[in-house]
Amino acid sequence: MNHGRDEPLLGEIEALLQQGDESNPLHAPLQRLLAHHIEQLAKLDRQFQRLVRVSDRYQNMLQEANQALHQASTHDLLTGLANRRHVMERLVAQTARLGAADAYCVAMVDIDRFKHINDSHGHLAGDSVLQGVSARLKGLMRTTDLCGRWGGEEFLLLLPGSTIGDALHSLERVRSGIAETPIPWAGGEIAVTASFGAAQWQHGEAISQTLKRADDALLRAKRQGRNRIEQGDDS
Amino acid sequence: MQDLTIAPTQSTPAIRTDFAAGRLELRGDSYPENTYELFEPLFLWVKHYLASGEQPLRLDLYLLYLNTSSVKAMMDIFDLLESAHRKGRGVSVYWFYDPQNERVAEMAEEFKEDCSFPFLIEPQAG
Repeated sequence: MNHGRDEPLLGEIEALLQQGDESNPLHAPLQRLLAHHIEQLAKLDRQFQRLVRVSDRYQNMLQEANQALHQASTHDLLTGLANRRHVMERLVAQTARLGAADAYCVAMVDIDRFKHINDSHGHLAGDSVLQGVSARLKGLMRTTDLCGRWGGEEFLLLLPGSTIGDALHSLERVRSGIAETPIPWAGGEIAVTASFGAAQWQHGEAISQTLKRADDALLRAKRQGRNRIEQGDDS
Repeated sequence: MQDLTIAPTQSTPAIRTDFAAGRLELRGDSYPENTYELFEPLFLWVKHYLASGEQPLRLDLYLLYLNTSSVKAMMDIFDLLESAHRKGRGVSVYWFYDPQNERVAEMAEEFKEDCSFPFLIEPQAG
């Protein structure tokens, strides 16, 4: 109610009315009109504040919905990891800025004998293994690295700033972390291992080539007995 | 007065009035390109209804997202109801919301604050 009175003009009119002659027949109606006007102003002010508040809330609602949509379009529903498109976008964006002196590694990861897990324990167990391995990948990598689900039981890791030596070191921690902590399932547990193929980007090399070398290294790791890390040949 | 039956679009709510029953229903999102065009007939209908007879008026709202001008339009409608209520007319608002979306209820609470007539905010699944 007081808000209208903050208006200097209204204050002035009010002061004039107070000074005015009460015998003036216009005095009372003017005072009434002024009071009404002040009330109207106060109401408008209240409405305006409410309008702003409600609109802000609706905007927040939209923002949240937007974020949820963004999350859904960039992340894998089952594992919560970045999806293939998102990890690819990040890979392209990060490698576009690389100079000759920059180190950058990628690693392809594949869960060993995943089909066997699905066949012997069922697909729900398979999902649980995918989630467990994803959590281990995420938990054991640096926060600057990105883990993405590449498809099926395959993952792509981006390790910006890592030389192949750094990457092998990090990946060994991840490999042993996965091998040493079985996935709890149906009151028991499922032992899981994964194979890794790592490659360091070489100056002037197309990133698809780096990925291919990592993929070839992964195949080698599989052939050589699984649960191991192989590094890509120099291109 | 002719009742309104306006089909919903992606950006406008379904609007239905029932003069004989004293009911008005809005359902959906509201972010029309031209808010005036959408709400003016509704506004006129409410004014006309309140000016004729003594029958109570009840609004059933199933509103989700409102852009700023739609918020303003709703406030104006509630303002009409408030005036009628102060003159002794029976008016009420039921604002239904999905219990999974509590934010809608919070928003309805904001609208309710300036209203002294019955304004009920009811969870309703689906």
